[in-house]
Amino acid sequence: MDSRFPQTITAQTTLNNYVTDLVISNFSNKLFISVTQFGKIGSLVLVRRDVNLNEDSSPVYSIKSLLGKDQAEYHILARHLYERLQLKKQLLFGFALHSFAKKDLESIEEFICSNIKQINQ
Amino acid sequence: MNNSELVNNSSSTIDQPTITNGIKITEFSRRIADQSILYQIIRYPDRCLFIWIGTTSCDISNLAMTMPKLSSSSSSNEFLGTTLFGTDFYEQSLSLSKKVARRLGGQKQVFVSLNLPNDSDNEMLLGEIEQGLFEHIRQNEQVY
Repeated sequence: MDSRFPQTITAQTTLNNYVTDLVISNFSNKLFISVTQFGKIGSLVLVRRDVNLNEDSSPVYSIKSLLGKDQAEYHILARHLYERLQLKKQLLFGFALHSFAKKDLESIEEFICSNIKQINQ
Repeated sequence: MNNSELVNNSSSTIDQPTITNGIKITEFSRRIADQSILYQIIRYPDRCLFIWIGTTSCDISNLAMTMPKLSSSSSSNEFLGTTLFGTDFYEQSLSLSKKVARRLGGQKQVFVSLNLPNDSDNEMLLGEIEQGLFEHIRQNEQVY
């Protein structure tokens, strides 16, 4: 029986004194990243890169809040992560975090980036 | 740090959960109507489930979510759920997320994504797929 599941990894660490869990699932059409300090998915956003019809070649990102508050800081976090990971597919990003301070978000991004290397995108 | 050890279990009888300190992943498959149907269940520590059901194409085309019941004394039997994205099979995903939430006593937030070939929209197949999931829950009651 063919059983090729979406490649999925989990990881756990402590960041800023909070236990932080991570799961990454590599679906064929989307990358699902969920990082949580509350033991649940929390807020969920979908990020995609749109085709830019102008010729200045600057990318245009579309960020849609699927669940949770529709706040600018959430959009910035999701978009920054998408750009940093240089994704070719849509990003389904779930997050439940204690702090959105710059240094805390940098730790979260480092945690994600250090683990995503295990995923064959 | 990667503390996961995925279990790709194609057996139709034994389902082994992956042991981690936090998020746990269970994968199993069922042969239904000549197709290999894959189930991936991500269990979060705090009453949250993410259930993906699909085929080896491994796509995620829709997502539905049902909330836990706010209070056990609530008189309503209706569960609050919604489709988060997608067009194909989104109604079936929403319906299944409510059924799983009800099966688990309304204690969990349940995400469901059902991803099947477009020509498989028949009730009998969907019924067998649901049956495969509920059978797994019944056999692994202690982890849910």
